[in-house]
Amino acid sequence: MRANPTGLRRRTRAGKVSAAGYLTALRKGVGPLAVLLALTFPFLVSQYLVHLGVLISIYTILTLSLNLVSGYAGQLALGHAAFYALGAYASALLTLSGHPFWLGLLAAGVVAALGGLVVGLPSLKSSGFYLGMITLGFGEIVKLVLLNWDSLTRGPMGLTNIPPAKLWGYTFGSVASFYYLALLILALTAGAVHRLVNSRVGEALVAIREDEVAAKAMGIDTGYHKVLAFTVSGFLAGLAGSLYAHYISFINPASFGSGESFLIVSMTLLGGASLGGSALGAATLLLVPEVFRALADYRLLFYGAVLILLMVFRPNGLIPERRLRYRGILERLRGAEPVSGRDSGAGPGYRAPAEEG
Amino acid sequence: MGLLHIDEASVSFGGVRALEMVSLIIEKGEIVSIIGPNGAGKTTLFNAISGFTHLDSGKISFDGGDITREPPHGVVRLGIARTFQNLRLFSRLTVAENVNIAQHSRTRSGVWAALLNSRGSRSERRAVLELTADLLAAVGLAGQADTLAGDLPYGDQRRVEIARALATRPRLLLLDEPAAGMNYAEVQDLLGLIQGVRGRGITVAMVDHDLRAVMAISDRVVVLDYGRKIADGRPGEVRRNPAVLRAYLGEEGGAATDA
Repeated sequence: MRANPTGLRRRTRAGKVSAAGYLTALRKGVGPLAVLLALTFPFLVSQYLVHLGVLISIYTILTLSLNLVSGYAGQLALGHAAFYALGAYASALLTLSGHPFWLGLLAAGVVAALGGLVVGLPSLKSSGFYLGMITLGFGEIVKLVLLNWDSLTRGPMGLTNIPPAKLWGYTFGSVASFYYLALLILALTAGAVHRLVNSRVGEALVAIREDEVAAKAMGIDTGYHKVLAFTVSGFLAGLAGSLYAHYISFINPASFGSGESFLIVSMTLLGGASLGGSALGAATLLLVPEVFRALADYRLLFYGAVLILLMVFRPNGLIPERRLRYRGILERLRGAEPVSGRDSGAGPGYRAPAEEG
Repeated sequence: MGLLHIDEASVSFGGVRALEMVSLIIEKGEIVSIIGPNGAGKTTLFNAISGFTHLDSGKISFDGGDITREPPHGVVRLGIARTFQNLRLFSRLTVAENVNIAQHSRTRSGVWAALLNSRGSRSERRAVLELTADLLAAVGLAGQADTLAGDLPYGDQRRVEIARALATRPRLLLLDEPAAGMNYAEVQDLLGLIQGVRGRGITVAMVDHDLRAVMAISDRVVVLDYGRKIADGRPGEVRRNPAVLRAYLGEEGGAATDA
């Protein structure tokens, strides 16, 4: 998806169609087509595929969430299942004690966001593999707490009979209805992430990823933005956890191990730092094992092979982050005729602020 | 009254004294060069001013306010920008993106403004792009807005770095070896650019090894050697200063050199 940061209308040259033009048209067509397909999905396919659709929606939320931290801010985070778990347990426990679903969903986000805040703090002092180890450790701690806090979480037995999601008196009992709920939350998440990454905040995250020292020299409070990314990311993963809990109606700590964290990381790497990429990454890694089901014991072998091949041939993900084009916008903002080549020396423009005049 | 006051600044790394009791005043509107042999403490001085290194003792104040313990992003907000000796462009981002990002401390839209796509954040965005357009035109790179910064020739990367530093709207610009790796023509271009920056009312302090360039452009030259300030004056005076000659040419040093 592409933002038009100034809201200026793009001037298009009429009557000139090139190969690139067709490609752009094709690319523009893919988005609406995907949305249409997503909306009509339950009417087109079997219930089992709709079930996969629910899971893909949930994992796309998780992938988008991790993308904020890893794809955009460039921080290695290997414990994402912890936020997912925090959300799932918060929502399940609240609804099991009689509170409404919407409160559970909100609490899931808030509790997981607090988790994100806690994990984000070490990112102030460490980065790279060290941060990876810390986040991995956090994931294990959350899992161990869930396992051992019997009185609250019922330990390895897990929580059962989690009530179905219910909003405005409507119960999302069927797979198809839940699919639409998951799709709605996904759409809200995608919208939020899209706006965030195309904003001043998103710009700061990208700057941190590219060169943290330079980011500081550009006036970016890198610590604040890293913790912010972890917090927002935690919130979104928490929402996914709540959806999962109310969809499956049973959760236990085994659902949220490090394997789950690595699955989310793989989806993020595979998809690339974009909305379409997140969805595609999640869908691919959920569907590949299904497609290769016929291969029985060799299934994981093929799964691994697909992963390796994709990383070799698409190292930036299936749909990489796209660089916005500014030249046209900048030229229009300067009003004058298109600037070609270089004009000399210091033209008009910025002067030192005369604050202390 | 000077714009930047450095008072008896000392920094040491392990047992090495990188700066020792350096005092220096930079006046508003001047171009000051800091020179000295390798390891003299020039970059450490810039790091200390810009908040990347903390002083062991001493004090730095900018426009009357103490900035000794200010973090880098705070220093930028107060109006001091810097470039780096070994270019630190966001090389995988475009030229325009580099300059947009640099306006971070002059804008304020946060998470909520972004999520709500508020009117304020949109008009702010427009102002950011206007300044980017102006600055890219000023450094002669308007046509390269969408080029990845890392794909530009070296001289142009230096230009992007200066445009990016200007985008933080500084009152003091610290240039760390801006002419490093440039040929004669590129250096001449650069000097024109630096004059232009001063013409905008921005004070410039630079570290460089190209003495000919330094002498040509500077109002004042400060010489560091082994972390201490050994000379401070007009280019002509510094060039004849015996302590400077000793530092550059050794004890036996003879005639002055322009090289």
